[in-house]
Amino acid sequence: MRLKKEELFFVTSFEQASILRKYAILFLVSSVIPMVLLYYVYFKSTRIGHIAMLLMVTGVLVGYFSIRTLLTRAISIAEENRKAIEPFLKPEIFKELSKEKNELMALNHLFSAMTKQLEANIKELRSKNEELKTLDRLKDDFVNNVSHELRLPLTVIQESIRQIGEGMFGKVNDLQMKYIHMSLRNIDRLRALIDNMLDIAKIEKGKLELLKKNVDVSQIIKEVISDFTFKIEKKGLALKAALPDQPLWATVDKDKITQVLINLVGNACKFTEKGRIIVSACDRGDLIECSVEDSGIGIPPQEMPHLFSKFHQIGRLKNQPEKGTGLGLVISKHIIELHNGQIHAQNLEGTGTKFTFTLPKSPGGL
Amino acid sequence: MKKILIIDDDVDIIDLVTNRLERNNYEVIFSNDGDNGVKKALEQKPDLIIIDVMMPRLPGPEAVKLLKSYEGTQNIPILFFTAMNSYLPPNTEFDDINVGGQFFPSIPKPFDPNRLLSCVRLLLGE
Repeated sequence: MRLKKEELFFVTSFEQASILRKYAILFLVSSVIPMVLLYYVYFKSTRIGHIAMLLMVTGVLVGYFSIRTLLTRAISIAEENRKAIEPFLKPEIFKELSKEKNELMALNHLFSAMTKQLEANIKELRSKNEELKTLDRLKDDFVNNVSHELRLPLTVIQESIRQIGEGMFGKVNDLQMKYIHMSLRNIDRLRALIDNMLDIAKIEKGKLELLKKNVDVSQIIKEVISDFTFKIEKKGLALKAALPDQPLWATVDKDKITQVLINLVGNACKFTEKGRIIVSACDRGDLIECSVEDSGIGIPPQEMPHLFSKFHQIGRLKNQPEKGTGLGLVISKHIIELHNGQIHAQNLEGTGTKFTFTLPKSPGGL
Repeated sequence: MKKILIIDDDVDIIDLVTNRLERNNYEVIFSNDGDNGVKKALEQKPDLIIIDVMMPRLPGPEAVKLLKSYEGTQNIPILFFTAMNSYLPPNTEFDDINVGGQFFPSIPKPFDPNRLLSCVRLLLGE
């Protein structure tokens, strides 16, 4: 409960008057004592002395009583006033005064306790933050070291098997060759996994940087297609490019867009047993639109929403010849989004899948 | 016959790269660490140095700084050979490694033998 200004005035005037009344008696005593002393020292036994003494004592007494009366009146007026406002004032008001003081003290106490707690929390958070930063650095070093330590033995294994396969150490028979190829294929898988894991680690740390240059997107597509031609012909598929005659200039990171196209064409190849794969690109004003279309088994509708999620792989298919890392599309999506573009997939009527992505032509995006 | 010096702390890598290079008619000498590598380069004056990045004691880039500071070795072309991809600046077109403002070509491990050979030929001016 809070006191209003007027209420406070009544309460304080009443209290002050009570205090003054107590001091009035002190005034009386303190003025009589010097008068009596004066009388005995100077005016002893003279007539004028007697009269003066009498007058002074009378004056002091009159003064005392009149002050007392005035104060008593003031107190009674204050008391009357108090009584008059009492219905509005509530009897606890005088308690409230000290209660408010207590409340304030309690609040003050609480605040200082809270401040201390906050300071302790901030301190703890700071040290936790430092700890996390150190851990993060260690994790970075660890990821870099692990990738280094994984790549080195892989290099030795891959190159050794390759050299055996090339017949550097003697003729290789067909059966040996079959297993050499099997080993090399799996080494490639392991290598792709390591590279993808590193890419994901970089993406999650926001450290995947683009080196954008003005390049012809058609040219990138042509290069990717020529890399795949051998593999695709072996499978009996047709790989075609549908590109406009004029170059498609865009400011993009060539290596990264190549990576996306390799991933999409690789997927198309993986899930297509017969038919064709078409990579196309066209000019859409501010954007360049690329798509990779296959005549494969398509994407089961229930898998569509998870297509670009980490480690998600299209459910184990009976005749799926190759497995991936489950990271390719996640990385592709990040790369396209870093370019301010978009990527999506759709099933084609009948059979097949089409992945489409867009790339803004200008470096700053749209 | 052109002489190539390989500096790598991994003996298996040296073995395998030596196989490749010798089969392509190059003379190969090697060293297992940066210090000795620099010494060997000064003594034998190879036509090309293939050097690892991550090596104990004297890392590749430090060794290259030394090689470039000696008159006898400063003109020998350098080819870095590394599995440490994060060492490379992101997406540099030829995976160049920057040592004190100077750029040197690099081949990542695991390596493509054809790319290794074509790089070697290019640096030897063949």
